[in-house]
Amino acid sequence: MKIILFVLLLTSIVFPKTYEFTETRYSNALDKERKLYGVIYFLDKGVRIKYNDTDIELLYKDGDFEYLKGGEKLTLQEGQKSYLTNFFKTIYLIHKNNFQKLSNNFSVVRKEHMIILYPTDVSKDYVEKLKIAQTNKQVDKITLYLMNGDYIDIGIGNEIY
Amino acid sequence: MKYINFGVFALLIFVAFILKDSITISTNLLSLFAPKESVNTLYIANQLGYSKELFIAIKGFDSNAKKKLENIVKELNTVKEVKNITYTSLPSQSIREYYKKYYPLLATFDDRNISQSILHKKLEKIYSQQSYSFFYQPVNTNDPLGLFHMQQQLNIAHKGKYLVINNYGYLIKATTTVSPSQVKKAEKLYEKIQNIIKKYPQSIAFSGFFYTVENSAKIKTDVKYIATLSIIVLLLIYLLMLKDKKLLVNTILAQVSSMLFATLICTTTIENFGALSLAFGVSLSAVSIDYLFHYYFHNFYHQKKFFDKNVFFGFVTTMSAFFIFSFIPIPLIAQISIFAVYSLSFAYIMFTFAFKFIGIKQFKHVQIKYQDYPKVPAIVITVVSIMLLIYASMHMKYNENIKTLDYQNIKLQKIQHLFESVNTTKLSPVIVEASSKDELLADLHKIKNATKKSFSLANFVLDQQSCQQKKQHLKAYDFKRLNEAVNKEADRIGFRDAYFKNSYKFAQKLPSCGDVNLNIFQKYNLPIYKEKSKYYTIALVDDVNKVQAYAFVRILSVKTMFAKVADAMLHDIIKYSSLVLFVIFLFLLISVQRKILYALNYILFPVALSFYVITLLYEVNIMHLFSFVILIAIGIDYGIYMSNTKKLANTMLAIKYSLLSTFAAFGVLIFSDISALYSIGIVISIGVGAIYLLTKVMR
Repeated sequence: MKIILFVLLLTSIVFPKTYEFTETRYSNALDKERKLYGVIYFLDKGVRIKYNDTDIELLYKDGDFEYLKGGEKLTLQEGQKSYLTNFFKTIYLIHKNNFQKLSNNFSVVRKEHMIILYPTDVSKDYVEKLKIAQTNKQVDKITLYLMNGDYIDIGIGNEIY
Repeated sequence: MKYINFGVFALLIFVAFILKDSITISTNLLSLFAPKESVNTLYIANQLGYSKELFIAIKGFDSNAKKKLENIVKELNTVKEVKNITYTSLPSQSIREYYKKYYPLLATFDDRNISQSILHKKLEKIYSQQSYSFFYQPVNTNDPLGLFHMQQQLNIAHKGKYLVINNYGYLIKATTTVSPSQVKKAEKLYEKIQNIIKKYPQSIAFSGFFYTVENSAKIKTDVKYIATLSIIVLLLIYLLMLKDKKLLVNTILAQVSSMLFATLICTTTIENFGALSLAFGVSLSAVSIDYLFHYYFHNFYHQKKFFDKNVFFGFVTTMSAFFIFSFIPIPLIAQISIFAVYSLSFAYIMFTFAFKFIGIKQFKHVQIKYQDYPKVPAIVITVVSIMLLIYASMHMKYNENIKTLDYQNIKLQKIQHLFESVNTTKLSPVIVEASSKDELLADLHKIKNATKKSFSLANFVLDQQSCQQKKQHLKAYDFKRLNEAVNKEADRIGFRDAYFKNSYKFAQKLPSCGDVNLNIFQKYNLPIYKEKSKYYTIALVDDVNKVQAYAFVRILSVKTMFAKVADAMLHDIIKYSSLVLFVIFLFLLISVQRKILYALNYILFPVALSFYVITLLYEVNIMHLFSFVILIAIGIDYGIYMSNTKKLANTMLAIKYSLLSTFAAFGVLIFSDISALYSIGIVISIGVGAIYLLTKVMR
């Protein structure tokens, strides 16, 4: 029994919080939705996303963003990298419930089971708002609405570990 | 008449009290060396905020470093002297609006004809990306074919949105309201910044005014130490030699009066009379003691004659030398020379005429035993001096960098070097001047075209001509037809209806040229300053030589500025020294006649020997050159005294103590840590030694 408890304790320390997720992307250009599935790892100081059936991983850690294909780091365009860094940082801060830090770049509006973030920095040129659905401080869904009519909806599913 | 010295001193104090409001002393060190043009350039640079920048670096790129960065920024925001705090490369709201408005004119435009197949390929690619890419990529509905392209204009290293110093850590840039010349304000702000920095380990700060604060504290301590040492040595000499209390008090009074007299005249009549000139002038006044020593040891005050030919010739020759040097176009030397003319003349009059009446006791002749040294003929000394001069002239290395004369603050220099590496492309600043904003932009574009790499307002704003050309170019392109073609093909591929209805409309509504608010680029340290209907800005260029021929460009490198000045100084000093030597030669012909070589050696040998030693040990700088001028002025008196003396032992005694007082006034500078003062000290010390040697060995 002690051994089992020890192993459980160890896994909770060593392994990051890991969830399944479903990403729904709406493209206004095509007027179509597209669904993607994968696993999201909430690390101590970052977020890692792995899409199912691909070798593509997106890693945000210590304020830096990496795009990995087959474990190899690929270079991204400066604008694209900056956009993804901001998006992943926001997801990470939402997960950490660090609304104090989020308020540096967003105005935060709280509603019942729902938090809405309106950008106040440069990103307001292309981001309309972020909606976060929560149950008991646990994030269920993050929806990013863009100024061009697109949206990205990330539904956090079951915890794997 | 007994108290004539006291009366004169009291009168001078009274005059000083009356004139106190008219006395002006300039603390602008630069104006003592640099020509007016350079001083004005640095003034403009100051107005543009150059050298008012503040840099703070935080080591590392981890979250801890980022936290420190954010906290330091918060604290800096509470310091009223700190403005424009920047730590990200993100453009400001006004710059973003500017880009939005001027985008079609600023971006490069690919004007080739778009065939149907290219149009199809490009839209198909967007469709495919939207359908299959793992990355979300927003569609550019304004320019779906990517015909417009904007290049990165920034000259700043950054990691993500944060400014960085490559491989070191995060960077904060700000401007302050304090320039390096504002000592008191600088000290206050320095303390505030250091109080913030010390709370965050592994963070460092730098600004130009840090040198003002750290160096002036060091210089003050050094000067205090030197001044105390000088006063102690002088008093010791006077006490030892002038055992007569009355003589001692009167001598000190006469010297102080002569300094006060010269100070009053110079500070009320000469524009921008410098504090440094005053300090050296006061030291130089101590040289007048040789008149007193000569008179005292020869018991002149107890003789019936009212005039001593040797002292008079010495005085007139020295005066002539300083008079000629007062015309040299180097303000420091000219001002000191004028000061010396007044103070030495005053001292001469006091020692010669007033001291007759104060009742000084007779100097008791003591048997002075001198060791008999083998004597060297004057011609040999002359030949050796000339050889030394030739050798030194051929082997000397001239150090034009005036900065090396300052106190060498190695620690701060290292920090400055680290922050200079921010400018990864090693660009140097120049000031650009024009009569209008349009002309300024046109000039900046000329610089941009003349250099491989540059950073200025030209990177962000077009000049009138290019703007009009670009407008013509865009107007000639049929964007309306392109819009129709894009929408038609997009429909065919399967995009939402009229999704691209606004495509290329931005290129049809063009803003007018010439009404850009240039002040918004202050964030990138590209300020505009207007004075007397002239506009000024700063441009950074990779090669200053390629732009310095333009009449509208002023080089801002203090090093280059002073290199030019230092070179001119060398030539001026050689020119004026030659003239002085010629005049001295004429005076010596009259005063010492056949012993001219013997007397001339008292100038030649000390200058030659010190020049030779300096060349062997150091690079020659302008302070060394300045000290040669002092050596010429003081050496000549001794030449005349020694040539015409009838009582050698008494003359040698007078010279010995005069040399000691010269050493006390100037030689003690050898103990200074500040290169400028040490340079004077070493030359004068060698020179004083050489003169003493001559009194012993030359015949």
